Amino acid sequence: MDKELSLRQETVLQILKSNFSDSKTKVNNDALKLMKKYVDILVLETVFRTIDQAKIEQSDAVELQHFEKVLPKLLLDF
Amino acid sequence: MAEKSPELEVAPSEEAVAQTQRLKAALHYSIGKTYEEIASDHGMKVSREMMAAVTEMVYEQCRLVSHDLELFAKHAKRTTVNTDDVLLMCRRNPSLMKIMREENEKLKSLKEQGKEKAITGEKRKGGRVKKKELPIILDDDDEDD
Repeated sequence: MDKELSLRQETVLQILKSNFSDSKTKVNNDALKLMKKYVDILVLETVFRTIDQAKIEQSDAVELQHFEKVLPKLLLDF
Repeated sequence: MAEKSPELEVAPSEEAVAQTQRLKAALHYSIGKTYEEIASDHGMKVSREMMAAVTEMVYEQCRLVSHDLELFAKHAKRTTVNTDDVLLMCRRNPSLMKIMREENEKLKSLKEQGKEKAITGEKRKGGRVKKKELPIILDDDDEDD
């Protein structure tokens, strides 16, 4: 869990803001840091789960089919 | 794109679509970087299509989550999303909740430290902590307008 996504906090903020239905909604600084952490965890989990799945199938490349197999459980976890 | 706006929303403007594309590109770039890094540690290659699919998934998840956060804040009669809302969003996954709680505590203690430093710093100068100056240091609620 020590790895971090190179994504900037500003980008996370923009993603959130562009999806708010009310333009008056703001995001607190700490909440934004937590959101960044959430996205980090989501991506890292996806990476590790797809790599594990590819290993189980003894493939040397991570392909779309591996992602498809881990997707349902992944979405249930987030 | 497969994405269709829900009935409640008006069709997005061209500018909004362009903005979404930019955000997805930024997301795609950092996800790609992380993927390559970790996969090469395991001696593996990553397919392009899968990376694109992961980006779509992450963006879609963010979209759902931001909608939730907005409603949580609204329910608490606030217009600013705070850490409680983010924690509430993680309620279904106990392990995730634990990580997020720890991160929250970390952020809080960092803030406390900053507060103490700011106060002792003021004292060292010999002056009292002015009421006016405190909110600038402590209150970060409205930093991200």
